[in-house]
Amino acid sequence: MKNNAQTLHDRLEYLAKSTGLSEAELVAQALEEGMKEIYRRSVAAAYQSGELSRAQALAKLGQDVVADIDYAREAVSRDVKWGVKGA
Amino acid sequence: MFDIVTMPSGVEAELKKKGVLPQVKKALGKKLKVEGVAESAVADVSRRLSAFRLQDADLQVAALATVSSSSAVLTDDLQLRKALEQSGHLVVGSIGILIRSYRDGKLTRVALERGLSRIFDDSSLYLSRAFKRHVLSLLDQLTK
Repeated sequence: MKNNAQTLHDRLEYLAKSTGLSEAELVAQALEEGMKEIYRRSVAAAYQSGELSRAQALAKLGQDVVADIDYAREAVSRDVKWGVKGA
Repeated sequence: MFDIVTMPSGVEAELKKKGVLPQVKKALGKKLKVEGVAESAVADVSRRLSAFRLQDADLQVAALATVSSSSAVLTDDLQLRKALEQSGHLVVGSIGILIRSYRDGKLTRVALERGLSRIFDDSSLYLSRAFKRHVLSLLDQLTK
C-alpha cells in the first residue's frame, strides 16, 4: 500500500539516487518506454478490431507479439464456450 | 462451480502481497485449499517448461496441476496457459468464470459487462476493450 502512495516526485527522486541518472534523463527514458507501451497497445487493439491486417501487425509488433495476440484471442473464445456450455 | 479450489502457497503469498487474499478467502470459504509444492517438483516443471517465461508462482501452479487430478486450471497468465494447454490441461481464465457465473444466474448482464471491462483493462493477454465486443457477440450467439 505504501508503494501506491508514492508520488511521481518520490519515485523520480528514488530513481535518480539509485541509478545516478539525472531527472531529465529519467523523464526522457520514461517517456520513451511509456510511448512504446502505448504504441504497442494501440497497434494490438487495431489488429484485434480488424483495422490492421495480420501482415501490418506483424510489421509493427513482430512475430512473437502477434502470435501471443492470436493465442489470447483463441483462448478467450475457448473461455466463452466453456462458460456457456462447459465444453 | 467448483467443489474445491486448490492454490499453491506461492500464489497465496502473491495474493497476500497484493492485499486481496481476504476477499479470495471470503469468496471461496471452505472450498479453498492451499498446498505447498515441493521444490523438486517446481524444479522439474521448470526444466520441462523452459520454453515459457514463467514466474515462480506460475511454476508452482504447473507443478500442482501435474500431480493433481484437477478438472481445470484457472489462470489469466498467457505463458502459463500456453504451457499447460500444451501439456493437455484444460485451462480456464477469468472470462470463462464470469460467463459461467452469468449463465448460472449468479451475475447480471450489467455485472458481467463490468467484470469483462475490468479484465480487458488489466489483462496481460494483449486484449483490448475492442475485443470485448467480440466476446459479447460470441456470448450472444452461443446463448441464442
